[in-house]
Amino acid sequence: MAPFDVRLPEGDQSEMDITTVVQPDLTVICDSAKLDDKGCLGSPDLIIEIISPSTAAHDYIEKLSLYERRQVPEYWIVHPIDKTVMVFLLNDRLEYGKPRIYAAEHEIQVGLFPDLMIDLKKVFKN
Amino acid sequence: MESTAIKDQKFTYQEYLGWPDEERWEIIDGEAFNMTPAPSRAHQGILGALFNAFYHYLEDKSCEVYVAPLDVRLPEYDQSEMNITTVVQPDLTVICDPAKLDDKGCLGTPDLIIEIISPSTAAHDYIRKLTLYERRQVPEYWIVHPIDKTVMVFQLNDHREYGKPRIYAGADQIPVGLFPDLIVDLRKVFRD
Repeated sequence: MAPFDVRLPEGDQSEMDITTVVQPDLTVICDSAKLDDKGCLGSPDLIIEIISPSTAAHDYIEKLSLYERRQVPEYWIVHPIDKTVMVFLLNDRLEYGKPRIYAAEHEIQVGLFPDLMIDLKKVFKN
Repeated sequence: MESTAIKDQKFTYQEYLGWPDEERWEIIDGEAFNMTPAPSRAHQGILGALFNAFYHYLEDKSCEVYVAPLDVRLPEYDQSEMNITTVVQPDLTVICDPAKLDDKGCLGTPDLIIEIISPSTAAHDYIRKLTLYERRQVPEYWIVHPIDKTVMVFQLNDHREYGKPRIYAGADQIPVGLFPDLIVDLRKVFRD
């Protein structure tokens, strides 16, 4: 969970020259070689951002574009007020397609872990 | 809260016409959704600004723009008018084929629909209506978020499906897919 530095180098940037460091709300990393004392170096396998009105544009626009460019396979945008979750998955062309969108009464099957279901009733409790 | 009228019961346009005028309802595949309470002031301000942009652009053109409540009846295959099971009231509707317009509203698929969401309609607009409008081949569907100040634009792609939405915020200029020479300035839409 945040704060957790995820460094996303571009091309052959050396570590200290990296120009993109994000702190996603929740990060799943399956390749232990990407983990070091400072956090994660390279693209995580799943990122979840929980938006607030002040970060909405950042999460929907800049981060969506960034995570697609850096090929994060699965990106969830959770809206706590609307109680919706938008799930973007890289498609065959390695682009995010139409998001799957869920509401409080739904269960989400995690793309990364096909046998993991997230029950949104437990996520949006109030 | 948006509520389902009577679970498991299916309604047609004929029944819908008999419901009280002071209530706002939609039916999708026969399921009834109560669209009251009235929208917020921010919602209405945004709707006014969007209507203004489209109305002025369309003044000397054949397409027409309407604000809610306007009944948009979306018949399935060979449903006769009174048997229609899907009637929606989009916040803003653009229709370019005058044959679709009658005294009761619009019969058939509009060319562009805009919904301005509120927390109680978010799931309705993002899920049910997105699916519905894609199925009925609405070429362009905008979802406006008044609190986040974002706009999500879905357009039918070459496969006749909605692809990844274009998303706009803040002071962005949105090119309207339907009218390539119309740009909507979000600074005028999100004023507060």
